[in-house]
Amino acid sequence: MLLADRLRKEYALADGRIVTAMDGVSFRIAPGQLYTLLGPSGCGKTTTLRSIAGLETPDRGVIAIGSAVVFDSSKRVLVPANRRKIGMVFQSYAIWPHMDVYENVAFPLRVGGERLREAEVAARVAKALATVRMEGFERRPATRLSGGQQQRLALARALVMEPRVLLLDEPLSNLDAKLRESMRLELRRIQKSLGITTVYVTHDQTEALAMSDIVAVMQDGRIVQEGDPRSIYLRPATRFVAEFIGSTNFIAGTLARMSNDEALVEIEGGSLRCAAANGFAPGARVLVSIRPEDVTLRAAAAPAANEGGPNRIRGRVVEEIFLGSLADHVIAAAGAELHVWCHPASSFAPGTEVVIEADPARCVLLPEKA
Amino acid sequence: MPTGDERGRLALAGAADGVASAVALPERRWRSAGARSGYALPLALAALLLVLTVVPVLTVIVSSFRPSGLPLSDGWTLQHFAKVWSTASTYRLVADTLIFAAGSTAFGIALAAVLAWLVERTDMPGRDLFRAGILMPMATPPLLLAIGWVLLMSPSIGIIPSLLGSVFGEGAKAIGIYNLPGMIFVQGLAYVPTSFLMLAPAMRNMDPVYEEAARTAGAAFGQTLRRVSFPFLVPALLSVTTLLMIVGMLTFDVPAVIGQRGNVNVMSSEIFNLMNPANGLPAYGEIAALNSSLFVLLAVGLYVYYRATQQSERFATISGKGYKAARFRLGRWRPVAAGFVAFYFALAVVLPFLALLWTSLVPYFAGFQTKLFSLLSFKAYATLLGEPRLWEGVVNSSVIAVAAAIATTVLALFVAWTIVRSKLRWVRILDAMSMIPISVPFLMMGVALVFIFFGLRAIPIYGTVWIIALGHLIVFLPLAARMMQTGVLQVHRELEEAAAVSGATFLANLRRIVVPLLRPTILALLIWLVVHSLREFSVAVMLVSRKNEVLSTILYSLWDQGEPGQAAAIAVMLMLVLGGLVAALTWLTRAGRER
Repeated sequence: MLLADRLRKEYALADGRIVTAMDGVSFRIAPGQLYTLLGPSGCGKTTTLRSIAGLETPDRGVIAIGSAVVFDSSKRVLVPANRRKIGMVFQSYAIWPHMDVYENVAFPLRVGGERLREAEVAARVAKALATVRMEGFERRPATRLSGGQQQRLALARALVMEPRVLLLDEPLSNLDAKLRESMRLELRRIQKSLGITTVYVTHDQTEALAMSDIVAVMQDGRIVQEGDPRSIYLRPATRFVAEFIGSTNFIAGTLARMSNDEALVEIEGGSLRCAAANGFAPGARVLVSIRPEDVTLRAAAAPAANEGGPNRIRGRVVEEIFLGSLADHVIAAAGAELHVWCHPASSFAPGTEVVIEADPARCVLLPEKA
Repeated sequence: MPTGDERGRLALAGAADGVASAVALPERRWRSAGARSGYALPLALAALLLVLTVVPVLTVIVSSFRPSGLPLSDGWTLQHFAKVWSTASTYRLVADTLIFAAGSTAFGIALAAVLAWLVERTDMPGRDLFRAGILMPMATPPLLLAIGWVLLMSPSIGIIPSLLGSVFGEGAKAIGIYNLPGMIFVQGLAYVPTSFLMLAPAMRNMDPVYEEAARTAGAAFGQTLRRVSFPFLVPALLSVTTLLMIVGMLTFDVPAVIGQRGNVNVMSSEIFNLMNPANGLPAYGEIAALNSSLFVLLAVGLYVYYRATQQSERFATISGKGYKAARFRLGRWRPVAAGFVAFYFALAVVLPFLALLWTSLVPYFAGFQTKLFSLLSFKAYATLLGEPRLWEGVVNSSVIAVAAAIATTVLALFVAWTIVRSKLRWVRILDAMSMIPISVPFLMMGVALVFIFFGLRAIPIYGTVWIIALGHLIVFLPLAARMMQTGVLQVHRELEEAAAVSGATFLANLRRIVVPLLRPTILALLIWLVVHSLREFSVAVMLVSRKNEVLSTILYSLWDQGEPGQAAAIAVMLMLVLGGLVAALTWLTRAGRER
């Protein structure tokens, strides 16, 4: 279990301005979960991770690993990084170039408080290397490893102490695309088989969605939404989350009325039915988020399907962009330019009058601000 | 045994919960490498640097206002300044010092700029060889260079006047070295390696894209050079000029060997003479007043230097790596350029060395004559090696060099690591403090240490080798700290953070990660320090007595007492040792670069 409570950290820049890196970050991670902090650079996700590791000291808040409080500003508790017993994989891997693979992995066993016999060290190093499938590389100099091998070595070094918590700081960002995909699966496999509580920091939404039990989206030092990958993607809570994860279209409008299962939004030249949501009052300015893969295009001349089904908006094709796996159409409709992803076989020439159809359950109501 | 949590409990200064975090700066002392070292190390270093760099300067300044001229005596007075500045010869002294410093700086930089351009920006043949050998003149310290050139240029018997005489007639023989131009020539030669090392990177790192952009914008070659290339060099030029001017204002090697005999007095020789009066006590008050007056000039110089280096760092960030600098095609001038470089090496290393070697082997000093060939012998060496005084000097010099090199390296490592890694904002003051000795001429630092330890009998190092080692530690600290900072900056921060997360304490991190990774830098710095301590003269000459003579001061006193053969023999042996060390240094830095 890992707990962070109202973490706050400010930096004074050289010119005197104050930057808030963490602005009340709180979360609780259940044992064995992979918890991802996702956000753009400067959102505070790395500061949060480094605070858990003890490499940064928050101005305020509480951090507890398992039952041990490692940081509590009000009780003046600060356990330094070298006594927190955590494993961490750095973005640069931080493989020590003056040691071979074996010595890199053995390092945490050698500098810890307890003195282990060399046979014990060898056994634990062998186990850690086996976990990451690096057996036989023991005497390879660290400078002669590929990117993927360095990544595995960094992971073995983080796991050799059998830490309570594993911290991963953008571990895949330095790998090429193919390798990243396979390492993603492998990381998740290892994490699941060891059942180790893990905090994962990334700015890559695909990575976050593919690997996590829980995703926390961060913006400007705050967690703006937390949930499992599916709920984050399907029901974004803010405009920022909807935009940052996946692609989406926004249509501005005014909320006309809200029932138990549906909301009606007046938009330019018509209205949209959306999934109902809490916290909106009729008359409020709202945004409707519609993902480009949730929409279908029909030629305007074609006969309309049964009335009362999907939302229908009239529009005109502005541009058609063929991308191989899909055909992206830009449609001028409802006072905006909407992207619609069609099957690559379908094609609508620019200038064509079309009707856009969208399932109301897939139209997400968002506050206009933020 | 306390638990980790209990040990982690810290006293938190004052910051009650309601206080805005913006004012809660004391919390920053919670540091990653362990709470205790986070605050204690920078404070300890600040105190140490205060004692090493600020106190000596203050001592000299305070002394200049004391009636007795000693820092710990009573009373205040302006009489020393009045006396110094009411003497007409002081103005002459200052003028000559400025001419000497400015002239040698200009000559040295001009020569180095041409060499750097030829090596870095043209297709001159043999440029890699030159780059490999550029450190070699370090083995010819100004003291040896000056003696070598005196031997080459001695009126009537030196080989150069003889050659000039036979070519241009007897009149040309009158060319002398015992004058300001002679001093400027030798000092300028001694400045070339430093200037080259500072200018060459500026020329090398100049991204040719700026020049290409200028050319495509329609600028002619000359316009490009003047309006685009030159402005890029201005910061580097300014910073090397300031540095050399400061050195030149109080260097004693060349004024001692050439100036004293030619009756050309500059600031350093005047201070030396005042410190070693024919009878009675030195005029400490006047010495301090001269030094303090000079320090005002130097403070201005240092300010310019600081600004210039700040600026050069700004410029350095503009240029990137990964381009291949376009080289200027010399065409039929290529052999001329190579010849020019070879000529420099002849002037700076080969000719002085041959002159010293010759002088050490001839039975009596009579210039270069072929009839002396049959009389060459190692007699001077044999005499020297039988002298206990020489062996004491060898031991003293070695002890000082090793002690100063190790102490300076360790201190520089701690200072550099703290400056680079500490999150405390005030550690930048350590950087400024470690740079102070750059503005204090070596001779003046020697004077300051005399002032401090002459009176301070509680620490009885006056008249021992340790006071010289301390002097070397102080004067070499700025460069050592800078070199070490460059080294620490190249160690990725995450390599140390990974060690901390792995459970390594501050000391384990230093011993197992930082020092092994910095090994090339540390070794190079150690050798550099040994070389410079062995050849150093200006600090040592102020601090020697009968008991703690070093090789450079023995060499000078033999020379001064009319034993050129023995002086030259020491010089030759010293040059061979220094040459070996410099070769090792060259090999090390090249090996380091290839890694």
